[in-house]
Amino acid sequence: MGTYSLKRLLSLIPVCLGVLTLVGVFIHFIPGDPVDVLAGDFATETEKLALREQLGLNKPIYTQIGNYIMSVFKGDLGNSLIFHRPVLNLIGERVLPTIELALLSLLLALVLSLPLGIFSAYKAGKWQDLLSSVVSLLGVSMPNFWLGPLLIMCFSLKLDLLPVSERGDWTSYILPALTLGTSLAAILTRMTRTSFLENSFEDYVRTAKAKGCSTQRLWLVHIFKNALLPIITILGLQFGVLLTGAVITEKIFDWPGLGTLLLEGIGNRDYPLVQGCVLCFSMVYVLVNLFTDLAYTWADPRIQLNKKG
Amino acid sequence: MGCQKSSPNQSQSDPTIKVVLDSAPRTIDSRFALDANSQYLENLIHCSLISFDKEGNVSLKLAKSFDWLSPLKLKITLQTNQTFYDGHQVEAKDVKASYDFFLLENPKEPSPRAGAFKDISSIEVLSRSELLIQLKNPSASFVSNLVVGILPAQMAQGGKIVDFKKLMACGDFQINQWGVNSIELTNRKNQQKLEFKIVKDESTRLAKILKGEVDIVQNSLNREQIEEAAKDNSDLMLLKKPGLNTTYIGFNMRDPILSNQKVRRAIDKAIDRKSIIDFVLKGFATPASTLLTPGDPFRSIVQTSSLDIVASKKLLDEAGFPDPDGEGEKARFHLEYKTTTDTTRVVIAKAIAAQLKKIGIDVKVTSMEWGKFKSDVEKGQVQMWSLSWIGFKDPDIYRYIFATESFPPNGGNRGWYSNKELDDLLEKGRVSTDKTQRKAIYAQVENIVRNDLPYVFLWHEDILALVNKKVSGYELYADGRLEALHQSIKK
Repeated sequence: MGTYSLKRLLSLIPVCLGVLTLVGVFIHFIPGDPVDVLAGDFATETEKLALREQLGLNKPIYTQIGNYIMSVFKGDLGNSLIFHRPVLNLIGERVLPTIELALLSLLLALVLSLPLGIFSAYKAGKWQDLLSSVVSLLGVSMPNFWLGPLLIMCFSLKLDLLPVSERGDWTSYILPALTLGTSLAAILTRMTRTSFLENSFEDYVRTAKAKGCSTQRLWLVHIFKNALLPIITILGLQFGVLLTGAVITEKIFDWPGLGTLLLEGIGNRDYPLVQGCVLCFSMVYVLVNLFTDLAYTWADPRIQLNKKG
Repeated sequence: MGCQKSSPNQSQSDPTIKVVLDSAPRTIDSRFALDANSQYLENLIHCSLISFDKEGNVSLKLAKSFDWLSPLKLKITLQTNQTFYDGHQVEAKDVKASYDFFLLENPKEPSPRAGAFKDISSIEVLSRSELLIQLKNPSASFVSNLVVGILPAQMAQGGKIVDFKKLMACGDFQINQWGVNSIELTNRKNQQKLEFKIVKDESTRLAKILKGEVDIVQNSLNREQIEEAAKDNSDLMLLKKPGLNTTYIGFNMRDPILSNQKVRRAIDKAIDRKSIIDFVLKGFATPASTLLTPGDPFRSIVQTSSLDIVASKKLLDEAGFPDPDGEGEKARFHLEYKTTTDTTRVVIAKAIAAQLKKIGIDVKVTSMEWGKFKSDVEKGQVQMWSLSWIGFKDPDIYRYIFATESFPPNGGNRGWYSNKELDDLLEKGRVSTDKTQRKAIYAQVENIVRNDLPYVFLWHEDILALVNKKVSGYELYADGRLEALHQSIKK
């Protein structure tokens, strides 16, 4: 597993290269010029040229991207054009709140979806299963930009139970985590139901039943472990969705995370900031997928990651 | 537990005044403060030679007096009671060093505010509290540029200030904390604390003021929301004041249709400003007759264009665009109207398109992200567009917007309008320091612009704020600045 992990970590290098190149190219396709944003309406063309030169934006795109990649591998993500501070410091300040929110949403989704999905599979075809399907469908259908304000209106303004926004004490985490986690909870509920239901018809279940295994033990021990693999896969994939979904959720709840930083970067055409944020998102995504793969070996010891075939 | 609606004053005993900003100020360094929120904070943290009063007129701050020794020589005498945070007096050498920064030939970090000082030839310190500024050319609006915050001489000669703990400023407020979404200041005189909260989402801003999590939201809620919130909450008051801004429709003079003056006049006469103000802007605006706002001493035209569909159609006929099928569906010609993605701006654009359809012009409204919109307008990839000019204090703004020398990228003449007679008048207005003479010049300027219509002026929008009644002393300034926080107190 150690060799496999090392290989996967090394694969971060080409991923970073790809991300940096693609973002570097695409960001230049966006209409608008960072120099206009920085120099303001009243700057003369000479002043704009001077600023362009100072920022290195007068060089060809491939040179800019090349220079940026070199500096990234030296540990320097450059300076933000709008905040005039190192991008690494800005990301350092914002990454923790985003990870916190994503993990809490994940936890919330698991806590809600696993019991509901198992229960739904256990009661397959009955009204409880139908109700669970309707709830899941609702959860998937509600976009964050709608659910967030709805939760604020209900729990903050009408019931006066929770703060509207900002990252403060534990109560301030509830609404953002609910907003971000609801859709994932709905997907996981359906996935858990399907996976548990499929496994419940397997031979080993029949054998366990024949041996007198209790229903509770059968579902929560035997089926649980076997049904977990597809759920782990979905979790790994959906973590990326949580990170990108955080962009909207963070905006609604004034969450001082990477999402709001990325939005500011895009709006102001702050190239180093956008590149830094996207790179960070990509690395977190790759690392989470590595953990997902490692989790397979725990869930199913038959899987050996460093062997072919 | 009942479903009780929360009220702004339910659980608030915190004496800190909490103000919402819609985006984070980008810098604490006055030499680089370009965005509106950085400049609002600059007015609190830094001191400057002048400021503007509630109506947008120049008021003296650090400067005690200005004496024009000649059209090119300005002697400035400073107040002697203004100090930096460390207690040392603000002196003429500090002012000189702060302004000298903008005169550097090849600065390591060019300032976006340097343009305001390009008329300065030299600055000489006469005494601890007096200095002499020598200009290259006469400039009537020069004094209104002296709003940049003054830094201690040593700091003004250094690089960009990023760490708030190292900032030595001379304003009434000192920074306690500069966080990602929150900025805390304390008034050095009365110890009143301020907290600026950065809230980017409009519905969240509304929710926060309704719940009492913030005390002041200014100009960042839509008009419908603000009106209803004020009606429904006795703890909140709605403040409004005519703003120093003008919303207009700009025309690309290089477009074969819009270069025809009669077409522009027809459009001007077909727009029902009053209906849009009443129904879209909820009455929070005043129809515009010219670029200058109603309180501006240089404004000479007060009569707004009247709605006249018949005259409008006649003008289009005369312009060579007859209606192909009378009242039928076919249009005389097609135009594209570009605007931003802001919901209110899109609704306004659609309303104007519907009004122009009545005179046989088919208008396609295209809304686009700000960066793309700005880029299209500046590159001339636009037929007509709508924007606002905000916070201008001197009629010299006409030169920036309509002079031939101000074609992009050198200025804001984005419609590529050129008129030799107007250019000459604008140059005279720039160099004249006699107010009566300037008034006569700008009256002529306004007449030309009003007849030629490179812009159709729409309205001047009000400055609006929702304020918690626990805050006393807060007033609105016409240019939107938060100056009144100097004397605001929370009970």
